[in-house]
Amino acid sequence: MQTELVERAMHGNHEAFAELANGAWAKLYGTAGLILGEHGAAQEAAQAALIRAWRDLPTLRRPASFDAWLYRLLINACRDEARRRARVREIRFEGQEPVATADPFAWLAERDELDRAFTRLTPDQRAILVLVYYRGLTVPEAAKVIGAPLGTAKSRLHRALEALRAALAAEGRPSIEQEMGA
Amino acid sequence: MSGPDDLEQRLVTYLTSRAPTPPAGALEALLRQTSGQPQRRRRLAAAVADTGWRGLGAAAAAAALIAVVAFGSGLVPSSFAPGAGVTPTPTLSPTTIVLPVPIREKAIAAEAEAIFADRLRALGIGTFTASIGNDLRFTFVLPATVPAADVDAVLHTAGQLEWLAWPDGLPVPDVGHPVPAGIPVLFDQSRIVSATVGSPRNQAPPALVVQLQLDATAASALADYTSAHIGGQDVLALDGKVLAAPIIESQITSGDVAISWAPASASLSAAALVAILQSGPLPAGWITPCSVAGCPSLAPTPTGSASPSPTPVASATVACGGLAAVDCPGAAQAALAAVAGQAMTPIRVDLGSGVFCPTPDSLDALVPNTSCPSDVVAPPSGTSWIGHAVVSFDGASDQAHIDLAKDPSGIKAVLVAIGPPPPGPYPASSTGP
Repeated sequence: MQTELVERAMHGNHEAFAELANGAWAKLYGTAGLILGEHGAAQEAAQAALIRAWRDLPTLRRPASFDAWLYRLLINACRDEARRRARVREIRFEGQEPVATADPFAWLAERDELDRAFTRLTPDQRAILVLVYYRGLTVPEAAKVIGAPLGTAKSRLHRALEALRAALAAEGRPSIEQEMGA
Repeated sequence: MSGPDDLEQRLVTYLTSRAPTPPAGALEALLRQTSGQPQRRRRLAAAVADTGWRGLGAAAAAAALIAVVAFGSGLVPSSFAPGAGVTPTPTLSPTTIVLPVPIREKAIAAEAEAIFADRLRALGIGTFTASIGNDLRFTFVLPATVPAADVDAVLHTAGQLEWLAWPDGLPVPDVGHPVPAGIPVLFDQSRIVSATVGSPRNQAPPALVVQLQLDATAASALADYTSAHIGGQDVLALDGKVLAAPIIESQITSGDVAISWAPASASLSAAALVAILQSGPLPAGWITPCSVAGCPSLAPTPTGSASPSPTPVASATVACGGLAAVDCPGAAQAALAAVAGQAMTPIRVDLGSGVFCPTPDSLDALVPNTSCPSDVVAPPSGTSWIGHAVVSFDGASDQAHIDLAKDPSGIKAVLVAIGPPPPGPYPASSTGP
């Protein structure tokens, strides 16, 4: 179904593209927001990716790879947006779905701690974490999206996790797994 | 102590809960915007999305995933404007263009003839005659759809394409200007599986896109290089001159590369460039006289003339010899400039890889009773010797003996002596490296 839509969009059918965009928009926006940490930047990056997708769709070689291609455009747009802004803003989103938890106070503490730690990562480190743990991509799939060899993607993911642990430690508290898993 | 899986699981929960939701209406506004925008043409940009090349500067958002290099007006030297000043043929009478054959090896001349023929066919000139004697002659009727400048371009461009590993911090010459000596070549034309050229729809003419498909070796070299030089600059050179200088914004792993730029109107057209790239370079040792002192070009054929009218050649014949092919045009030009003040007309330039006067007293064997000038034993400051030139003159037995040096700005010629040619071949001790 999606492949058929992609093929129609590749041949200039804007209605087909609109349907594809509708299906992808929320996740694109969420991914960009997690990487960039700010609504304005997220909207800029997500929109830039979709504008580029519409323009370059005729150049897509395999319609079945549309999702990976689209997220590659998004990651590139996020890099552009991160460069454009002097620094990546702190994560301060409001209005997300609350997490069902038996201890809302513990969850708020964990969230704030992770917010601060995640802010310390580079956009590329955030990107690999978001692709794997938010989008649910495998590491090989994420490697294609970020345009890196598999080995590079693996090491980047490893370093990102290590950086996150270090950032959590730098917050002066036990790392999150120690706190939550104890 | 918890393991890393706990952190990963917490990340899933955290990211899912913290992902922002888009504001209402944003997508609808975007779709209204894209509905009025054209799409890129399929044929030209098939490789663009995989290349990782990105737009430059402020134009990035609106432009492309490809590097855009502007040929500024006035930045393109005459050697990149081979058709400049050419008068289009106004009639359908046959036209003959004559190229001097700079070397005597028949195999090389025949190879050059075949390449020229491919280039003419690529331009749409399917019917022509070719002959090789003391010169190489092509006779054909110039179609109204083929600019004379394109014919001149394909017949006077060697077509040696190189991808250079540009050193960090070294300024890149303007497009069309010579590449300094000593720049490492990442790969050359032999590693390019295919090359296509076109005009991107979303850029104003005369914008061009060159799309290259590399073999595995070149793709690997480019992947390694771009990985280590993100933010740096690469240079694509044609015949030793900068053709394009894109910025590396990400690693290129696919081996498919597309580069676009907007050349000045007088530079190579898309049709001429694709003809040159698809045919491959002229054989080593062939030197195009256009690069030396003006191109023999398509002069108008007298109306009603039924017979071919050869075009006079306005330059000396050049033999590249052992000099690197990319240095030949500049070396010959420098040598001719060095003898410009002589009251003789140069008719031939023989280039070689050795230099005259490697030692102060070595010239006497070549030019009797002549010692080496003190200022040629060592190359000029900041340059390195790359070879020599011997210039022959019309109606004169004396020849000019010249040493050639190179620095980042180009090739310099130092006139050593003017005298009779040696009775035999140049002694290796005098001209060898």
